[in-house]
Amino acid sequence: MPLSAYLIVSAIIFTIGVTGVLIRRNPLIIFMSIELMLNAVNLSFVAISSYLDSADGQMFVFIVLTVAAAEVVVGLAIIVSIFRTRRDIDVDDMNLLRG
Amino acid sequence: MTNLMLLVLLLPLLGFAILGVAGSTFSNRAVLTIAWGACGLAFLFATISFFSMLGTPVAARTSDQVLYTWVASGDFQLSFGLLLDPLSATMLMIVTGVGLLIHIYAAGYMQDDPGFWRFFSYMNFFIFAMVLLVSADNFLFLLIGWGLVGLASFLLIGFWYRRPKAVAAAKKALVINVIGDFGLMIAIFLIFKEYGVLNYNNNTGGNGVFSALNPTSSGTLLQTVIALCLFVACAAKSAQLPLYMWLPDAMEGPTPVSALIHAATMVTAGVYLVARAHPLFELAPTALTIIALIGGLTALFAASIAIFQLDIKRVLAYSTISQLGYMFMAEGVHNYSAGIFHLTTHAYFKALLFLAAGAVIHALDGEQDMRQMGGLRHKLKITFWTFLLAALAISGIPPFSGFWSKDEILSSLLAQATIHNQPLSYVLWGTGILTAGLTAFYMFRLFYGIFMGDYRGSGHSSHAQDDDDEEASHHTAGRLRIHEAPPVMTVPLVILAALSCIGGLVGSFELIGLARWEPFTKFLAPVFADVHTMVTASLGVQWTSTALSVGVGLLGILAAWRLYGRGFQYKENHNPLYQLVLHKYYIDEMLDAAIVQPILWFGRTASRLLEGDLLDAGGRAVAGGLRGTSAALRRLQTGYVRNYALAILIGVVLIILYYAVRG
Amino acid sequence: MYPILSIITFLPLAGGIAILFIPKNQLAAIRWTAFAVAGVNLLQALGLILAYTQANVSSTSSVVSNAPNGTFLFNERLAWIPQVGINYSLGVDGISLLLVALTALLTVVCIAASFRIEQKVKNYMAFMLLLESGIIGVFLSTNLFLFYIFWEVMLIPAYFLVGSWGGERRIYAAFKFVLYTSLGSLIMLAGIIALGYFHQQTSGGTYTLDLATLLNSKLDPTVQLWLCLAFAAAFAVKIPFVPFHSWLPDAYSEAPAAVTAMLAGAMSKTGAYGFLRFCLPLFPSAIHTLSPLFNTLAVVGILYCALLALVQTDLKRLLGYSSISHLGVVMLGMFAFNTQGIEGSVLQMVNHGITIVALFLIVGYIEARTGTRNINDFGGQAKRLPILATVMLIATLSSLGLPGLNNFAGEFLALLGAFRSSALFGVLGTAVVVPAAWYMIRFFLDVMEGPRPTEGPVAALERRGKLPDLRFAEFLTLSPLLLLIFYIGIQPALLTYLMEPSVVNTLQNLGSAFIH
Repeated sequence: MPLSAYLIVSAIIFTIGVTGVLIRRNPLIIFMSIELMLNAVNLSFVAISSYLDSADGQMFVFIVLTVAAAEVVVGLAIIVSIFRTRRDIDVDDMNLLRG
Repeated sequence: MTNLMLLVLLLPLLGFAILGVAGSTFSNRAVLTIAWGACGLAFLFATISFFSMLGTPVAARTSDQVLYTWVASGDFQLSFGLLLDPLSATMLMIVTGVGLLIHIYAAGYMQDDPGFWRFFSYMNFFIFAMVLLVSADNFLFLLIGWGLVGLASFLLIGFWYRRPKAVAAAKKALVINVIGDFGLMIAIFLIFKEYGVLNYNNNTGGNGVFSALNPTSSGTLLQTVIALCLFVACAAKSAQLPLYMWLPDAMEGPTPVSALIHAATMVTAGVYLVARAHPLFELAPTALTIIALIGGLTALFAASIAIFQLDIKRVLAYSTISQLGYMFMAEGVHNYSAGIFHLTTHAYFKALLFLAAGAVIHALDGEQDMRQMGGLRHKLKITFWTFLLAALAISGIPPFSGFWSKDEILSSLLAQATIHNQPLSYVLWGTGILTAGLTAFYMFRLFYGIFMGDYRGSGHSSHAQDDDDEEASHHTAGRLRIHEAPPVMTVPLVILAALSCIGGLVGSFELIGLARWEPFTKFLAPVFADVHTMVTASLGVQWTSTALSVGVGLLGILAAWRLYGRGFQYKENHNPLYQLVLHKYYIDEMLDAAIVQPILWFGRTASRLLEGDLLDAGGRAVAGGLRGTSAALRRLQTGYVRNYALAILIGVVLIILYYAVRG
Repeated sequence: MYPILSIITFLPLAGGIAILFIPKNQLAAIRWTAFAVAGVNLLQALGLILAYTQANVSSTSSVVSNAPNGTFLFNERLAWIPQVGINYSLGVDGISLLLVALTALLTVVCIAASFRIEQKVKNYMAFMLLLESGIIGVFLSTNLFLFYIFWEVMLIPAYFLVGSWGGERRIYAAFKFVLYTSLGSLIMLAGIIALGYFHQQTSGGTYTLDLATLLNSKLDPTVQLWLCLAFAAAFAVKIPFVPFHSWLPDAYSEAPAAVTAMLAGAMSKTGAYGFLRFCLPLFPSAIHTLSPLFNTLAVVGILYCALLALVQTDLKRLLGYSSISHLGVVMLGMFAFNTQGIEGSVLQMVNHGITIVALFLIVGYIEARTGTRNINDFGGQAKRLPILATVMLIATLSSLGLPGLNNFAGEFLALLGAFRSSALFGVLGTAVVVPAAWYMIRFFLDVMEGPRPTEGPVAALERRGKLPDLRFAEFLTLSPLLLLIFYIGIQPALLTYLMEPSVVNTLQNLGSAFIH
């Protein structure tokens, strides 16, 4: 398959992820969407890595995976903590930073 | 001899320090021991210095003892020394001698005042400052002494510090004197800029101002400006036009203060300064003419005010201003030693007049209004006689002291007029003669008002009580028992009366053919040896001037006798001219309206408009603008995560588009 | 070698940190620790003066010579970020020596006067000591970046001291103060960075911010002009020059008395010092171009603020305006560019520090007794407060420049210098003695003399007999200042002796035509 096919799939997945982040109000779904975006990027890394016949892209994939795991840990912890205090995790109610 | 000078300077300072620190715990007797001791020893040492100077040859009579270096900054090096020459010795004798007499007198006058120790510590401080002024060997320490006597004067005018009038007078005296200090500072700057030194003569090697003078610079603008700046200082200190206003108000201070500071010594500092800096004045003939003019104008002006005053101390204050005018007239025609001579005799008779007036005020329990006096000759015999002698002396009646000195000044003026044939000098001389008549008139008006006729007072203590009821006031209400002052007060009166009678005999006797008898002039001659411009009066001129001045003086006395000989009668008079003079030509009011109020108005307006509306409000307006901008911008921060994500997305898309379009 | 300069700079900071570990209810321990730290630092400063005179004597030639680093003694130098020319380098010369000693003395006095503070004593004392560190650091830094750091360090404790312990409008005053000063300092920071850049351009060497090296740079006059203005922005606010002074009356009147005393006595000198240390030698051509401007600003400030002081009713605001007016004389002397002018200027910085601190503390004592600073509430208090009145009179007379007291010596030299270089500015500057005498004597007379008030807080206190005179401890606090008021007035030669070689050095950078 040509490289473009991988990239198109990757772009579609990324767009789905972006749309999910923008329109969903449940932080868990938003997290999943972010994961989608990250994995779309991973997909293109792997594809380009094989296309260029270089291992660099695959190394980046591991870094992304690690960071994503760390991010999920922190994010979930925050969500749990917010849920404990507010009994609700609708992101639209969390606007303490409003100017 | 020079070590004695140091003692003369430091003993009064020591007295001040002791009394100032611990005086409140001392008994009156202990206070007097210290104050009299300090002043008396200073007088003793000054006398010893004076007589040992008389014993040395004329050429070796100047000594300058360097004490320390005040400051050294680049080419500005100033070492301070004590100068003893005939001029400063004369001044020292007057300051410590008259000072001692007044210290003694004040013990009686201030006896019941709760601020007794404070009074004497200030008096000692004044003696110190005045000694510093006259014995400094450079212009800077002259300025320091100049400022310190001003401080002493300020403290003593405001001695009764809860009386609003006294405080106002003290403030006025200080501020006007600072105008003089300003003039002196500018003069010093000019002198340093021009000559590079401030010492009168060299005391550590190198030049002094007077030896650096260049005779060819005579009459240049710079020399004139220097002389005039110096004279600004003299006018402020010696109450000459237009800076005289503080002196009459200064009478709010205790009477011994008026006698010592505001008649005999401090106010003559200006006369001293002109004499001391005469080499500078000699190079500025225009300035000297101006000085003579101002002196003449002041003499006449102040005498005219004195005629209608009702407060006896104010009459004497204006008389002092007028007499100081005489001294400046003498100096204006180069006759410095005549100026100093009149300074000396004036110190005797004016101090006496004030002290006698003080004895009257003391007897009448604080009454100063002539309308409430009269007929006191029976009850205050010593005061009466001494006052009469002093009045004769100031009126220029021979052979009392004032005659000799005033006569010398007037003949000098006439000689200047006849020899140089200047109309201006004739006018000055005429002014002097006229003032002599006025002086005799107002002085005998005062004399008759106080001592002759019948007693016009209510017999009750009318003096306003001190506003401070806690102060043990010696003004007991009720019937007044008019009594002669105690001996501690009358003895100084008698001594000063003796000096007023014979003090003039050191003057010139040329008039009666004794041309060689002029010890005072000869004594001062080394100081003024460089003055070649003074003209000597011929015998005819002297006789003319003397005859006229004595004649006019007698006329003044006669007029006073005709009007007031049977006692002073006060009549309301609404003649505008009379009112004008009575209110001192409204000059205080005019200055207040023309200078003081505008300055305060400016301050208040600037405070409100510039500080408040422009700077403060302007700063707040800038801050307000920033706050408004940020209020608009903060709406962008919605707090919704998705809005931020959308913003990021749009940003990313825009960046990609940018690169896509650019290719 | 004993790193005396670093110790003098950082000992107060260390003391301030140590104080934070004392339990906060042990007020006496906190106060006395702070006092002891400041006291030890004062002793160090005195030791430094002694050491300086010794070193100065042994190396007179190098001090007066044109060697760029010869001016500074006891140099300490550590590489910090050498790549961008930032070094930790301290040094002291005759000018900074006096100002360091002044700061150390004033800190001791102000801490002693702050024993009355009851709230958050721990923070207060720590901030006072931090302020001392900052000010001394400013005087001792010989690297521009280090100077800038200390310059900003000074601001932090000053902000908190005004903002937390002040009067009713303290927050407003503190904000205004910080906004004005930090705006100025940021412009200066830009100037510092640019100076390093232009120096590198002209000299072709490495980028450096060391003062000693920068003194050799030959910058283009236009560049000098802009850099000088950038530096002047910070200094002009701190002194302050007249259109930039609006923060001062508010900050001075709202801050507690001892803090005001520190700000007016020590911190305001950093601005004048900055001009003398940096603007004059670094930008000689620009400073000549700009001197008519600065002279004019100084004269306007002198006279304008004197007139404002005449009509103030708040005692502290009155002193605030008088302070601006007096610092105008300092600047006028400095811009005379001759030995007398600059020595008078430095002498006057010291004198003003001594006198204004005494005055502010006295006003603080009065306010603590009566709860008011309104001049109309007072009158005739000398009766009840004879000692306080005497002390106040001495400080007042010193401030109005009575001949024979300290301010006279400084003003005389500064104005003499100003007069030598320009008669017009000299005369205008000297003219201030008249309004100065007027407002200062009003300050004294309206409080201590005249008729007593019939109503108001003071009258009430006086009726109840609750108006105690100066306590012994308070008198002791003021006594070193009073002694110096007399000593410097009688014998200013010692101070000019200490600073003369350094002043000559500064003048050499301006061109030798000005040394006399």
